[in-house]
Amino acid sequence: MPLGKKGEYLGSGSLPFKSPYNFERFDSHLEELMMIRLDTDPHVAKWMKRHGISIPWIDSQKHQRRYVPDFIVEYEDGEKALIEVKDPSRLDSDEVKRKRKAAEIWCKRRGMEYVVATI
Amino acid sequence: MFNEFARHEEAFNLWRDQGYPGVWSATYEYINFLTDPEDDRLPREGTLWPHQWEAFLRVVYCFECLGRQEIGGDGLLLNIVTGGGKTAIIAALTAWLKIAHGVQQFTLLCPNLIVRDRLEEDFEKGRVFAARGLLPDWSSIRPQDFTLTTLGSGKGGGWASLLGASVVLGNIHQFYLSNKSGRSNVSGLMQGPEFALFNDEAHNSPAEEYEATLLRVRPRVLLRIDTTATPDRADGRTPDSAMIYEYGVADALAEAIIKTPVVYQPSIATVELTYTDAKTGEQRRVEEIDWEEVDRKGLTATQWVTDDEPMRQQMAIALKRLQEQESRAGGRYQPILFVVAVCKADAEKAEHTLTHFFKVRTLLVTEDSDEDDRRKARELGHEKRTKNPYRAVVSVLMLREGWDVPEVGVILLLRKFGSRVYGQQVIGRGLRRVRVKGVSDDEPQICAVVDHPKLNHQWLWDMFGSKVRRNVAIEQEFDETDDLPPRPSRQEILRPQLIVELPKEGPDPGGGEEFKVDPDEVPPPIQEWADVLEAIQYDATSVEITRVDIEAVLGKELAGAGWRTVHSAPDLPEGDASSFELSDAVLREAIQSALLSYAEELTVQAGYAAAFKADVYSALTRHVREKFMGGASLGLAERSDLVYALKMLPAVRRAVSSIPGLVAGIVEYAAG
Repeated sequence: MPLGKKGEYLGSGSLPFKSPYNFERFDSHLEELMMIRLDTDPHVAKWMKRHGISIPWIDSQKHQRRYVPDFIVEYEDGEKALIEVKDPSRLDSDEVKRKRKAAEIWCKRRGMEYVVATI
Repeated sequence: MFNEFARHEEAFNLWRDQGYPGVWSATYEYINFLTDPEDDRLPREGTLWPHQWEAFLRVVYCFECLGRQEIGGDGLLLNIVTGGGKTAIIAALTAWLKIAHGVQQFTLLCPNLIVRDRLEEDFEKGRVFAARGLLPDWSSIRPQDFTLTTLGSGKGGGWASLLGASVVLGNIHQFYLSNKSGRSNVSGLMQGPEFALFNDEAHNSPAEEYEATLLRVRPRVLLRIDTTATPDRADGRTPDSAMIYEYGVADALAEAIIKTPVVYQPSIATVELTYTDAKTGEQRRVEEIDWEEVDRKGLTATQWVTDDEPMRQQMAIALKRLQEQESRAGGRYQPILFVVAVCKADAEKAEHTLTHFFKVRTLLVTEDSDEDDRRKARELGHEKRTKNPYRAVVSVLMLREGWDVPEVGVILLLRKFGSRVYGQQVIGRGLRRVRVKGVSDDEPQICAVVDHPKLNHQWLWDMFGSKVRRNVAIEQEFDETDDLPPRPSRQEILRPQLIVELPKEGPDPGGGEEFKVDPDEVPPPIQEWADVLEAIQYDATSVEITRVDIEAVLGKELAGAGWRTVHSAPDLPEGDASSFELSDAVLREAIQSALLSYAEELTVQAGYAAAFKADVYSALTRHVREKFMGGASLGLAERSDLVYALKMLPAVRRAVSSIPGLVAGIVEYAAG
């Protein structure tokens, strides 16, 4: 799968485009697929790729870092989630686990869910 | 940082469409004055740019229609890209507050002297109001009514002048409560009328004293506006204000508000490494190895740009870019090469090489530079008319934020960036478009950045969406039309009802677990740290990159004698090789500052707050004295020992960090 594919998603035409923007930028083919999936899923009311969220976390060298999750999503029932797209063939390193843990707690504090999704 | 305005976006658009219902009548008049008579969605020509207009209207909407309870109790933040013209927004807001709300005093806070100097130039005699035509005739307010007082400038500042001033400009340190004049200035402000506070480069404000000052003046602040291009700091903190507008790099590129960055990296095939005895200077062996294998040789990333030969090579590439920029400028302005070094020693070496070897007139600006050099740095762009203008400026950290010389057309990186914030700030120096007579608004402009693949900066170029030219040979030239990547499209909100709002943060569910580190990972502190440190042995071999061969066969001799192979950097003329020596004082300072930064890095690595670095610094300093300087202090050591110590410092860092529990031992037991 071409992971490095970057581009602009403008909606698929036949589906409702559920982002507020005129287009959203994707940095990989997986992200593009997720955009289509979010637009297709009837439970999803809105989503954004450009959202301005960055979550502080601490790496194993104790350095403060920031992590920008892929998507923020709002479902039909008003629940919200951050979604990170993951390539199923890749294993999570320790650093990735730390990052995910920070994101989970960050979401929990806001009554949101943190989802790591494979496509 | 999340855009807190998201939930108001829809109502705000409606408000604009309906002609600003609910605003004060004078505000309505002022908005009307700034509006293009032909198209009421646009600003009048010559005043604000469209994104500045957007930022201005958002502030007006928040202040007059939503109110402080709803948004921005601790201020409103505008996240505007460097080169996006924050000053004009501040000026328009100032004019509006004076005209519509009768605000008498405006305080502009800035983090350092460079920013202060720039704001002073813009606001003196109300210059920016006149230049942007921000004052309507009917208001009877003139540019010179904005009397400027600059604190600490030696130009009649001081707290007494606060009483009569309309615009007070001060470095944040002049309001710190820990010093007497700071307290006096704050009390001067507190006894005056209510004022509007503009906190420029606001990412600096999450610091204890900064926050204390903001908190102290809060009761007298009618409206606080923070401006920054980098609200998310490297340490994870953000200002406490509410972000209401984001105008980022991609937006500004799409609208050609800033220059397009283009990155150039050299191509390298083989590398020659010379091993010398760091103590005697005796050469031990020379080795030629493949580029691919070189990483195993224990070189630091910055050696690729700071060792003599690679530095000359990078400079040659950068000067080629400068030449290209000069031909694009065609005499309308003088493009400037900006060299960014990591320490004063590198900066001095770079300045020397540029001046004496490449014969390029170069200005050196460091934290020790006086007002005169700072002024020269600020006015570099105005130098075109002089017979012999500066073509390059070398700086350490001094020229990072707030230094805005649009003529900077080439940036040469002699350092590696570890943090998004510094990287962005430095590249930002080159993004402001040149706007002089004869240069039209739609003329393509680039900022050429000369980088090195070993610095691993791809993440930075991704942030800017820059085009990266790899395998650049020294003599290679590029055409302007080749250089330009396509402009990105402008991302805009079309359906505000689809914005996902971020829920407010609730209480901590599990006691800051995200920062918890498994205790098993932490080695026990070594109580006998002093003995362990003493026992470290060093091999006095230092490796230096002495030749770098360029892979490509490119470039054509001007004389037309045919193609030739371009190898490595221009050679030094005979007998010139040792002409440059760092002074003893610079050597001492280089050792001291390297030890300080190692101490901080090692302390943090060992799991302690940076504040514990003092003991580690003392221990490292003693260690270096004993191992390399015959026990003499930095001040008294022989020059040869200083040179030796400086060369061995990377080895010290490697040795100390490789012993688990050593640094922790120093922190835990040194004081006892």
